Amino acid sequence: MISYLVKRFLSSLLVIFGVLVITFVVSHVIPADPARAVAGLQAGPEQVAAVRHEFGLDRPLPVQFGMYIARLFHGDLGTSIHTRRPVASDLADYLPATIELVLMGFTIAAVAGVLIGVTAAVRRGTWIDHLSRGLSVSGVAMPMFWLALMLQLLFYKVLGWLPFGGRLDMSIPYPHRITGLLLVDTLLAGNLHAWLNALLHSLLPATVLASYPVGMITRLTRSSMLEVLGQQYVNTARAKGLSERVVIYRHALKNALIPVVTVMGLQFGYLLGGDIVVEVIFAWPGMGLYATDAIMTVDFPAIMGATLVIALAYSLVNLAVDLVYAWLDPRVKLS
Amino acid sequence: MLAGYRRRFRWLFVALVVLSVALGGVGCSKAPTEKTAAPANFDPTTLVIARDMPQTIDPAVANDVASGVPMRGMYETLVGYKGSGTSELEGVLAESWTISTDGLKYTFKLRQGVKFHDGTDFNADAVKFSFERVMKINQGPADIFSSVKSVNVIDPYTVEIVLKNPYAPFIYALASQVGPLIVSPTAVKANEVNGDQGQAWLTNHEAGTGPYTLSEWVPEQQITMTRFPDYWKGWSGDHLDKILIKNVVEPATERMMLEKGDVDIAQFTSQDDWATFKTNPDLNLVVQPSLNTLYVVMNVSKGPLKNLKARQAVGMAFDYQSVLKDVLMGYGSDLRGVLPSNLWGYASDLPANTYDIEQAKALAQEGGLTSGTTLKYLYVTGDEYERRVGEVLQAGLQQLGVKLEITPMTWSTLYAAMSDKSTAPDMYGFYWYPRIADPDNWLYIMFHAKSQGNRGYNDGYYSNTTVNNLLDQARKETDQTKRTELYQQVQKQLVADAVAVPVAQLEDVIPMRAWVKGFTFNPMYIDTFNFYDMSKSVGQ
Repeated sequence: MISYLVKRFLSSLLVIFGVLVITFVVSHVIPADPARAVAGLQAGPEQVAAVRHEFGLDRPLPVQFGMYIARLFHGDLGTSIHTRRPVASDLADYLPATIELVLMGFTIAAVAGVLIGVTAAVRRGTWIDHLSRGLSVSGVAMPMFWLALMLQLLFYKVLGWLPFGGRLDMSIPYPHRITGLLLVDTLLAGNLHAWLNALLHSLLPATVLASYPVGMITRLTRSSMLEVLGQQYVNTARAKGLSERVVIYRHALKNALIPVVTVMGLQFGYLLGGDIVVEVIFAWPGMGLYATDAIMTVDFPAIMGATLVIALAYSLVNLAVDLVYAWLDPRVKLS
Repeated sequence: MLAGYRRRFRWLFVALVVLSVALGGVGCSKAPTEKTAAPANFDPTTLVIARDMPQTIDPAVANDVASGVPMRGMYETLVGYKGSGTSELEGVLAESWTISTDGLKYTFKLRQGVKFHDGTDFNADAVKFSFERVMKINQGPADIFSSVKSVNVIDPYTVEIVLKNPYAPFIYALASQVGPLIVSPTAVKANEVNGDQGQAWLTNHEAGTGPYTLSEWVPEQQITMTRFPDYWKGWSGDHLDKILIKNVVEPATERMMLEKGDVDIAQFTSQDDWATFKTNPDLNLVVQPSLNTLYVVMNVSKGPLKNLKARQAVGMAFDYQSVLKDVLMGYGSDLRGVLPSNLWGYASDLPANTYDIEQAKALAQEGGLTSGTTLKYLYVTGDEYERRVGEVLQAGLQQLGVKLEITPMTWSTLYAAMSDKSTAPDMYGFYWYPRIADPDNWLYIMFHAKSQGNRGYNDGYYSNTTVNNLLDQARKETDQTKRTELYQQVQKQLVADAVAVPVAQLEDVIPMRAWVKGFTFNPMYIDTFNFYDMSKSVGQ
């Protein structure tokens, strides 16, 4: 197991390096002038040149890349041209918000998707099955921005049950930052009022974020379960007198989850990089907004930092998926 | 079997249709026609604004509206524009000033008894420090002070600014939003790191004299400012205790929050919603003529548009009224020439813009703009006005047999293309947001030969010796009447040379709750607010 993890770590490093090279080259090939964007519309050429020099943009590209990699080994991700703060500090501010939202969305998608998919498979042909298939198609097909605005309109404007967005009411002070995840930090601070408020703020964006993956997971779970439920060993388990719950959740589901886990892994990566719409509509200060701003302003250090984070996340998620495979299916050997 | 599926799915289909109609009905709910009572969340002491967040509020670096909004509450300049006008100035941190006859020395008598937020006194040393800090850092607003040779302390409350050359717009530069804004030397020096002039600290802290202090900055979420008790104007009368800026940029979300009363001012609403806001008695749609202008700039240095008649043909093929009516939906006015009509120096006798396809065809023929020619128009990605202006132009040119390729680009990419003569496009959409209410801030920066490429915004690469000389002369002239004459000659020459298609002078639209009182719009402080004079009250 240890040697497997070491090999995966080394291969991930190679992948991440390749991603960084490609990102660096592509972002610098674009004929853009981030120094001008930062200096402002009416800044003179001297001011623009000063910004260019401050961020090392006047050096040759290989030198810029070499300096970036050298600083990376010291944990320095450079300074954002747009925010003028260390990229590491920016990521430390924005990443926890995204992780929190993605974890919530993923949890909703995974739990709801699997439960609904299993139920639909078990009750195949009933109204439950038809409803679940309709909902899963809707989840996949419905534009996220439309769903977000409709839910916001209903639950915030019309019913007044949930806040419009953000992470916390403006009247509630932020807890002392330990993890950056408000749902964790408020609990650690023993502030249940703030915890509940943070939960209410995250419900709508997390639900919207989960809409697409829940549809995918539901459909895949249903079809996978149907295949497994038709297997001989399931009939054998029933014949042995096991309860239906044990047959479904202990014997059938574990095998049915194998392809579902792959999709879950991909969906997690998708959520991490694709939540910009949710962040804009719900004013959620996460990586999506940061990465989009970085691309629009051609903020090279921020683009590299955001890419590094997403590449790392994909690597970790793929590793987690492989480890879960091994747990689900004893025939799978990690090597 | 198929019939069975149809029966089962019928109820699901009906349920989904009913749900969609219900949601659509909720979404299309009409605005109230009568004033509603103040909601339970009405707080008369706090003003909440929905807009984007600044990346920095360092006065020597910040150069955009997002920074300008909070900075206007926290900092002050020596002088400012009076009321809603752009030609008369009043003292802010300066009580009075004189300008030497040669236009080189500006002497300011400073207001006494003013405190910075850190408790230290405002004085001539602080003014000198603030100017020199801007010039040393040499970013953001520094270029409008590039004519400053030295700043001298005459006595604790008298400061003298000496220019390298006479620069008539200088006093107006001091009144701009980036003034410079006066900072506390004590606070900056105490927080300086590795000789950075306090830049890292001032990114998200402040050291001003303004009526409000920064009390909370949650990155990408909100900025909170609270009353500075020792503000020099005092606090008698109706004033706000707190200003809160919330990071909300989605127009639909802003609309919901504004209609619900959770925000008082929404700055990123959609033009499509303004008609609804107008009929809502709980809201006030503030519409004022700005000094902002929109053009289609033409490349006069190369390609088909190098020919004057070809450019005139393009101008005649543009449906100006259609843009004002259908694109700007009435929130703009006719722009003749280059300058906005509410700016001093505007030549009111310029000819009207004409849309005449037949005349355009004749001019195109004479100018070599033959059928089958392709022109390129670039605009900033996401800018709907620029995109739709391009489409209007495309439709007009199509009638001349000329094809217009419309291409969006991010601002930094577009600027890189514009500032290199070899890659500059035939045409591009361009707004001008002035920093100084002086014709020089349009005409010199956009049409003097020294402003070509990345030295300014003359990226149509226009060069006319007469115009250059007139602009140089107007910069040095201190008599406003003479300057006006010079600028009027420039405007007439620019129109004769058809340097750009003058699309529109824009109106500024700010939706706010009707309970917001005391807001005074000034085109030079556009999209920012005179927080000190504002208040909230219902039932008036």
